[in-house]
Amino acid sequence: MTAANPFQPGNPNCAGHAPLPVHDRGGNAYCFNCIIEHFQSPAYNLARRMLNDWALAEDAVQDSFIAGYRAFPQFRGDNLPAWIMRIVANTCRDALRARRARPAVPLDPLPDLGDNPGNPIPSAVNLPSTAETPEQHAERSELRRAIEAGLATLPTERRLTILLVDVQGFSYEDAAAALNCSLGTVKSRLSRGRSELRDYLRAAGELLPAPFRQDD
Amino acid sequence: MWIFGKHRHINPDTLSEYLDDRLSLRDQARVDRAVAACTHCQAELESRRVTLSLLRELPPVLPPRSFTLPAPPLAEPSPAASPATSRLAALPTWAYATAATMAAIALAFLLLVDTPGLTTQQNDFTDQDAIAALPQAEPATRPAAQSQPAAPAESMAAPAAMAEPQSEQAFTPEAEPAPTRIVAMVEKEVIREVPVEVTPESAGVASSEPASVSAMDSISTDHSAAPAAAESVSQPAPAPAAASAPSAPAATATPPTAQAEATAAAPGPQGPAGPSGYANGVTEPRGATGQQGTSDEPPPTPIPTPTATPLPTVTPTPTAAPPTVTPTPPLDTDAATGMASGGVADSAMPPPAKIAPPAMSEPAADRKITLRLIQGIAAALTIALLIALILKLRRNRRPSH
Repeated sequence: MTAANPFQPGNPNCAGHAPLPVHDRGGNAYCFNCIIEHFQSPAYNLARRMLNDWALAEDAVQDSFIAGYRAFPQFRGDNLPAWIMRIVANTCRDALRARRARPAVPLDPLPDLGDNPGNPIPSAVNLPSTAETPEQHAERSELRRAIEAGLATLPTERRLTILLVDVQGFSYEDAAAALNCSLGTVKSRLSRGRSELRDYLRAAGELLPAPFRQDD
Repeated sequence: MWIFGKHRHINPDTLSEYLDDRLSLRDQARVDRAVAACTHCQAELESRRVTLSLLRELPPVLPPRSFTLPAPPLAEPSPAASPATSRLAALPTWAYATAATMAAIALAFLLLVDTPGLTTQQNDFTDQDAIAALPQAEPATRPAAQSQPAAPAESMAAPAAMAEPQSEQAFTPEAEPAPTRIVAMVEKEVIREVPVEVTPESAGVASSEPASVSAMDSISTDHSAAPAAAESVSQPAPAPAAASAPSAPAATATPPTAQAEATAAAPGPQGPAGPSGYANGVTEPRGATGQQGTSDEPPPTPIPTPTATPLPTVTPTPTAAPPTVTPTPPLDTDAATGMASGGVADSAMPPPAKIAPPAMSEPAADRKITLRLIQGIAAALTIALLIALILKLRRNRRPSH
């Protein structure tokens, strides 16, 4: 955040929510709700794909933002996206550890009983409509599930790295800052994770659509 | 990639960086050449590219709701920390630890180095306090000591064991004021009572009697049923009067004590019959002292001391009423020297030698106060730094974000 601070309190984006001023370690002022609105989508995507559970992901993202709000006075003001994603990644690690300690079978998806038609219960299948045909939607869903299943087979750190760099579009440096590791570690994790995912998709090649089917 | 005429496949990490455009132009050209020459490297690169495209085309998941926090957020932290506070929080833990250790060492040094000086000054200070408190008691005790000549007989008659607690009282400055006060109270009662009772019935006594005698008479008239008391007023026969009192045989020593003991002995047999408050107030303790005087057991507590006060009131001088305070120092360890002269008894007063004179000078007192202040500041600083260190360690123990 060496450039102009886009999250200053009173900026035009502040109109849509309650102002929540915070200060970093250097005394710079931010509106934390602006930060939340800006980062909640990548944070939720990361948590959703890390945890494979929308409810857990929602909780993880909310907990991450609360933790970020509390820890904001310790933020040095240098790399806000990496700092936020680091919090989310740590929260996801904690959630995965907790889930490993207390395994549960998710009921996915929950049936929509029609009680609240305007706000259906979110689930993995309730993705936003992109005005595609049912066949396209089925193919896309199949592909997404295959990739997410492949991602789920990866070790946590490799998964996090792939999600940050390949899915979220983080640079190597930002990913290294977010994951609190070196640049070489990020490169190594990326290469091995991609190789493992490729191998998984090759094994599940029958499920992939034709354009994505990989031949040996 | 060809090395020494043998093809070596491209490192997968290099291929990943190639796909992400993170290689230099020179390395990119080398990878291009290798991929063009080797089908395995070409297939590897292609498979990775497809995987990467799959990942990049992964559709985003929309968050189900907004995660913005309400305006008055959780009250626990204070995110709007001032720059000074955040600067303090930015200090590393070792800085807190070093500062706390140095402060603790400084405090220990201050406490250990000057301990002897402080303790001696402390004693001086307490002694000085005692001395400061002493002058209030001295005026009360000094006349008592000066009235010593009036009570040599008492000191003779008093049991030797009785003198010990009194001498202890005389030597301990703390115990000094208390008996004096009690004696003064008893004395007040006597003085208050005397004029009231002198006037009504002094018929049997000559009008030229001194006031003390009339007072004595009034005492005896209280116990008017005792004829021995009336006899005791007449000087010639004190001893028979005392002898007539079976409960006070020790009173035979000298005429003044005999008179006094006669007054005490008179109610002795009729003790419980004493009607007036004066009789109750005076005769009871005196009877007690008389009995204790005959017995070998000295009164262990200093309380009997004031009961001896009425004894000197029997002295012929009418002005002897105020010096009735005699109880305390004159009944000293050495009754013989006490009898010899009041000056000797005076010299046996609470020895000021034990109570050190105010030896602490002004600079010494200032130095002591300064040292105390420095010690207090060092202790407070140490405690504050230790608390800061603990808080810092606790904060660092939280999961790092």
